[in-house]
Amino acid sequence: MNNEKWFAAAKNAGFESFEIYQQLSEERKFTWFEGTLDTYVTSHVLGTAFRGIYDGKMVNASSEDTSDDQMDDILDSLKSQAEMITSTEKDMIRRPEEVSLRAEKKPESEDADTIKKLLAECEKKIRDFDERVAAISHLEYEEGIEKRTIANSYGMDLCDSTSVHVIVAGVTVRENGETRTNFEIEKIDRIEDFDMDDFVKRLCEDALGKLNAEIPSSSDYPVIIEKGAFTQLFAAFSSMFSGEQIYKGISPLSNKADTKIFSELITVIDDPANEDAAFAAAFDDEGCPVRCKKVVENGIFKTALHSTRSALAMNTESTGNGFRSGYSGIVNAAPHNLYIVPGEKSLDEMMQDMKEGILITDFAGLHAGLNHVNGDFSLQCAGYAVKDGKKAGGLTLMTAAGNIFDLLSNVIEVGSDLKWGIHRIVTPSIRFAKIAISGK
Amino acid sequence: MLRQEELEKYLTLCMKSEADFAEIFEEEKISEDIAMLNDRVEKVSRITTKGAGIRLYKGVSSVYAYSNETDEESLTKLINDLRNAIGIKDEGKTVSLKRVTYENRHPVKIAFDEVSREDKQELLKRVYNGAKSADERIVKVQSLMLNVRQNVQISNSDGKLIGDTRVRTRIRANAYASENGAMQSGFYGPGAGMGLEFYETEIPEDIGKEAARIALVLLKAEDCPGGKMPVVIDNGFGGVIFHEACGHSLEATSVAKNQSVFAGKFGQKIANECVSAVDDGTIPNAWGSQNIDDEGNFQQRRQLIKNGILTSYMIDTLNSRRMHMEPTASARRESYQFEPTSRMSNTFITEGNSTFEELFEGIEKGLYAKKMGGGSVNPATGEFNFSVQEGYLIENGKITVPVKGAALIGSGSEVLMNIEKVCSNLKRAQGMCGSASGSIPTDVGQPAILISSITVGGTSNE
Repeated sequence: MNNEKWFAAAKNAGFESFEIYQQLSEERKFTWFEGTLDTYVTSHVLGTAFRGIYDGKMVNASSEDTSDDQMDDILDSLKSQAEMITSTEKDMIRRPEEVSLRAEKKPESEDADTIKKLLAECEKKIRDFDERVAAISHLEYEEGIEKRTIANSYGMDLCDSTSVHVIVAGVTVRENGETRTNFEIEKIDRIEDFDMDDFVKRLCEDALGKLNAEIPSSSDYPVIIEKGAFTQLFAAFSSMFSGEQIYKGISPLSNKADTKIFSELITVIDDPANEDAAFAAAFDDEGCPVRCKKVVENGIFKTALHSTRSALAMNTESTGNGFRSGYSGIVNAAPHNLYIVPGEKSLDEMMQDMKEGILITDFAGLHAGLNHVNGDFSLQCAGYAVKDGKKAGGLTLMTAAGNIFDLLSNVIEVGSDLKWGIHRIVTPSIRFAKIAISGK
Repeated sequence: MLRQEELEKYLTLCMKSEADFAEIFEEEKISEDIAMLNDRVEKVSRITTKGAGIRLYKGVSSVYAYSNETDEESLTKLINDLRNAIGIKDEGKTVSLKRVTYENRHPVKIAFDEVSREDKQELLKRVYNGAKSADERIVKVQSLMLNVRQNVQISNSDGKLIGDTRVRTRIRANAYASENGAMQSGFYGPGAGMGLEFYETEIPEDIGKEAARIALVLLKAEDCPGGKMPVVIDNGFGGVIFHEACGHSLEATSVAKNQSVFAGKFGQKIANECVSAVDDGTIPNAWGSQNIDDEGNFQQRRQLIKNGILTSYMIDTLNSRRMHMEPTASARRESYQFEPTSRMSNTFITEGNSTFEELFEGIEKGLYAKKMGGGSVNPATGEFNFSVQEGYLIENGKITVPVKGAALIGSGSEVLMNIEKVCSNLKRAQGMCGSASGSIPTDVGQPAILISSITVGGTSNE
């Protein structure tokens, strides 16, 4: 599309400033089932989002049809939105700033035969791992590329792209009528570097370890929440750091700047350009250069994450956290490559120190069992009993309940095992004083 | 949308391959969101989705391609990519299409794009007024109106050409109540497969009031005790228990590959005799209804369980091949960007014989779950969880103090057997269901039920 033509039309229509955000997504996905290719998916989607300031108000539209004959319709719709908005919130289209663009890592696309061979080999290794492997519920290799461009009527013209290749597998194991499952996902930069044996071992051992699982008695237990599980829980609460939630007074961190919210063992950093993460970005979805910042330092809440709008509302600068959830989502203040700074001890060492307790390895129902207003949670979880400082039998059908602030204020040890994988929010495993477990 | 002769040309090209079936799904969708914080419109957005997905079957394998670019060059490239993946042939079936017409079961009286912005704004203001006037402790009200119109056209190598228009509206209200430094929120979000005439019967003030009522109850709620106990789950969104504990495990997505606890249980007793349940995609103007499913088959009412006996799965055409059973018009997808698979529509336990009071008889200590939150399930193990938004203790057969932070967990096969009583006050409620083919609107529902024993996760261990 001809951006300049759109900017000129927007100007004629009375827009003070105008932005065009485009996201091109391409994917190739292979799934494998019982010795054969099950599905193959290929795609090419170009999504376009328009934003502009009209009558002092920010208006939004997105479309997958941006032919020139849609121009009048889209601009009219945006103007009509401006007439509808009665909020006095300020927002703006940003002027171009200097951005330190990073070198893009682009894994080579693999040919179909190599991928099929990889999946066939992986399937065989999973099947052969243990006679209790009953089914491979999912086996997939996916290559995805996302290209992002942001152009605006102030002359901004930014572009970057991210390519990620992943393998995903799900296994079902059975013994004496009991069924357990596990699911693993791993980023693959080059197929020859992929450690398939380790991947299969992690996938199968976790599922097998859950067999003969017991339901624990309801009580308060000392607990370690394993990195994957705590990443799930922490990510589910991460909107508390959003400047938008904070200035609207619906985050539990509203009015908590520079106060102690967590244990002094907890430091939280948001670093969108972090090269260890799969989705590193030099600028946010408004074209604001990103920066690394301590959100929580030794338990003290230091800064909210800001988009342009939330920064204007709180009389501060954007932190480069104005991100969209997909091209059609509206820009919101959101974390991007946020992590809890790891400590010294491995998971095994933390279990040795704890001696007796519970290791939680998985949470379920995170979309429902949380209270974002006050930090309460009550969630189904699974894991293992820890006895004599070692992982013992599997535990199932239990819930862990509490409050994220109480939990993170009672930290005994932060583990060393931070791993980014394909996540935008990660934590290491953490040992806590206690958590309320409901079971039998 | 593509013209019939274009579709015939593309489908004929698809069939010059090893494929035994080809299908083109086209979609044009307009979504409009209007967000209000208190009495001010904060954000408005409009999203236009337009694209096509092409699918080829060879036995039980499928290949799928999708794009928003539907010009001849782009579509031919996609089709050739799929032909390469499935195996190219020079010859194949010549497809000629016949358009299927039918009577629309879900007529719309007031199209959302014919309503003025002032009138839509007024509806949201009424939600705010309803919540705010409930109590002075209501400090904030967020409301969101979602309006969607999705046009689809489906054509396939069997010669079918059929279309559907799906219109939906929903208001989601969150009310925040504050007292002595504590804050709680309440949510209510009714919707329907209708135009804005929906708000003539679903009164906006009442939507706000209901969200406020829940937030106010939670302000005085105590921590919920944990452990196994009898639980009465009320009607409406309470039906999420059947959706999670059973519904997902009856979808061919997990049954066809023998990855469901209910695989191989057809005709067997899987629930207590007082339980009968249906998945009905035909209910006029319901949130989860359609005229046709996303493979172009007319929606049906499926009797999943009759007096405790498993009588039907939910089956799409690809999985029907694997299962050697007839498809049940259950193929759904979020958009052209998803390959369709078997999904629920409006799924609920049907009326029983017990009165509401009878459900509580003889319970010394238990939980009354008046409003449920969402949940999830692992279909292979059948283990499910869901959260209780508004709960109360049952003590000596009476509903007593409100409790917060409760979650219910269990295994689907066990909980269905433990449903001891079913009331007659059937009600459905609206939700979004996420699974393999994306996020789709579904109704859950049930009359109030008594589960004799289920694990309640709580914060207060005695």
